[in-house]
Amino acid sequence: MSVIWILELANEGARNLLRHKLRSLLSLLGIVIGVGAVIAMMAVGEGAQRKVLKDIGGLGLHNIILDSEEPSVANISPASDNSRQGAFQYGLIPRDVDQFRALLPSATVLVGHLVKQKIFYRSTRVDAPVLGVDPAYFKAFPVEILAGHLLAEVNNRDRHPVAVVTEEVARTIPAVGGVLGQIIQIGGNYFRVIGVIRMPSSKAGMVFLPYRTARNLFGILTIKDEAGKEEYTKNEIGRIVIHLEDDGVGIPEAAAVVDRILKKNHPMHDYEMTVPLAQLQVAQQTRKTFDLVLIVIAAISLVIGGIGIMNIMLAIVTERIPEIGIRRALGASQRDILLQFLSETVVLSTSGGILGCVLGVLAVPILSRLTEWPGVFTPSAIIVALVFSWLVGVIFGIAPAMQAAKMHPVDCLRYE
Amino acid sequence: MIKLIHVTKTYFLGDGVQALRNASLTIAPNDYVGILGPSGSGKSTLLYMMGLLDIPTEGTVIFEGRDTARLSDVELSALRGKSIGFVFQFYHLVPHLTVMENVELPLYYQGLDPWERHDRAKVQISKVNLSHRARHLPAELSGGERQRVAIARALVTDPRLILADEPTGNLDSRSGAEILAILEQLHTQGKTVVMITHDLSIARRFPRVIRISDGVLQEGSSG
Repeated sequence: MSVIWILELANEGARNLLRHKLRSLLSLLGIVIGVGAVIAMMAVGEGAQRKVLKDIGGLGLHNIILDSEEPSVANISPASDNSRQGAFQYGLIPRDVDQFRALLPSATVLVGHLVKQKIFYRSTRVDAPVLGVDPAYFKAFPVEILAGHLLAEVNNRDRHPVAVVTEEVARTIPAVGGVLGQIIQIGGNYFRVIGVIRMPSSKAGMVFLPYRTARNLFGILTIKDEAGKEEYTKNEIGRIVIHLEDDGVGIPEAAAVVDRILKKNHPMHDYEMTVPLAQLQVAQQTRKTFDLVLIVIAAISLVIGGIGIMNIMLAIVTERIPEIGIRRALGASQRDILLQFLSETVVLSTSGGILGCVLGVLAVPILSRLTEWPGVFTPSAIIVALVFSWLVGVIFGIAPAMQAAKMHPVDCLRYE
Repeated sequence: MIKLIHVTKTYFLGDGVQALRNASLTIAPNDYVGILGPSGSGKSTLLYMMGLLDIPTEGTVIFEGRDTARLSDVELSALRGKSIGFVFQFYHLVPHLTVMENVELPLYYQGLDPWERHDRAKVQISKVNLSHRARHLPAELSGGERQRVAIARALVTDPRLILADEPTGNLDSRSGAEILAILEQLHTQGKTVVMITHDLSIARRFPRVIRISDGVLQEGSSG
């Protein structure tokens, strides 16, 4: 059992298969396609998973994020007294904040004021949501400062007309020499850009103002001018972020408390609650299901591939009956014959596995482009694929090889 | 060398056919024996039995003092590879292997290294004057050449017993004479040679002839 001996077996197997190139190629097509599909799907699945995890991680796993949401008309109860002052009020209210603070003393409750105004840089329209936030807001989210600095306590206290923009917004502002220090216009008011940041949570881009500045300048009324009819809506608080420091422990409990309060205070359900940790768990569960489906697909395709190989090997054994007889007469034992045919099957299935890996690797860039998910190769996927295609060769090669080995030498020699 | 004691071989194809009936036979070392019989007489079965390729239905085959019924497949195969060289009527070369590879094949099953196999096969091929054909496939050779390859293959392991199954049956008389000359030479070199034939004129060349008909052996001289 030396290396030379194994190489000779493999070499002989390969030579025999190469004598019938087309037939060998067709017989391993099942394995090639199966392995290729699984490799490609694993790479794309891994890429998708990483993207989802990064997005969710950007939202902060220690946070519970609440956003006001304008309810659809059907949800508004006529008995609501919101229309009393001529403006329809919806969304999160200071009472929510007070109750959160009372019931979750260990949490930091941050408030954001959503400004529904248009942004201009000179005559260029910039499209991004504007949020007035407490400076502590940036502690709840992972933030990278690219230029300038974040909103400071003094900016908030003294209602400074300053803004921090994300890099996506900065990119759309055509300012020579960078956006830092430039003046942007939001709803008729002027703001100086004091910082550019990168936030993994907001791919769409955002503009941040000091909370008190935003609240003072824009108030809580929004006028919608639709088809000549003016419509007022009133939203006290655009966003509440509840930030828990302690490693995400207590997030599910906190989320339950928050949910209970909100359900009581907002029968119209004019809010949206995001718990990144829960999303993460859902994503991980989804991944497990995806993996399971993948394993089933892989198993099915490998079995089909294996049957294809077994079929061709049975034909090869029949074709080579006289040769079996000759080899037996020259001193080959049953074990020698078994190994000869088994090595041929393993060479066949392993080449199928290798071709499948190549196919999968080639398919990933195409799939990535179609799905817009990055393809991430894990070396273990390729090793697993090769080991399994090798195993398929052994498992499905055993029966034909045994058949060959068990043949009676005299019958083989007399076979016409 | 080899001893058959009351060997019977029955093939169960429909009604059982007895290819050998109560056959007893002793081949001594350096014997030169012709087995003469018409086709279907059971002479090939007798040869396969002596070559350890077939197992008797009844009776005992003793090979160099060992009861072959007690040997495992691996032991039997090793014995076959080492001690016996076969020459067949239809050459039985592996069609997709070259002359060199065919001659190397028995050495492969003895676990020899590739270079040692190559060296020994080369010597043997040159002995049958086919060095110029070493890289050819069997299909590219004449019948006589093929049989010489088969002889080279049978001799490459330096076996003590040569079993030839109508080696001249498919050859023209000149090639046939060549093959017979080689076998005779092997006998003078001390090998045990047993050859099957249905041709009386060939059988006459052997000092000892065993006739077989309907599976029954009959010892006799060639006369």
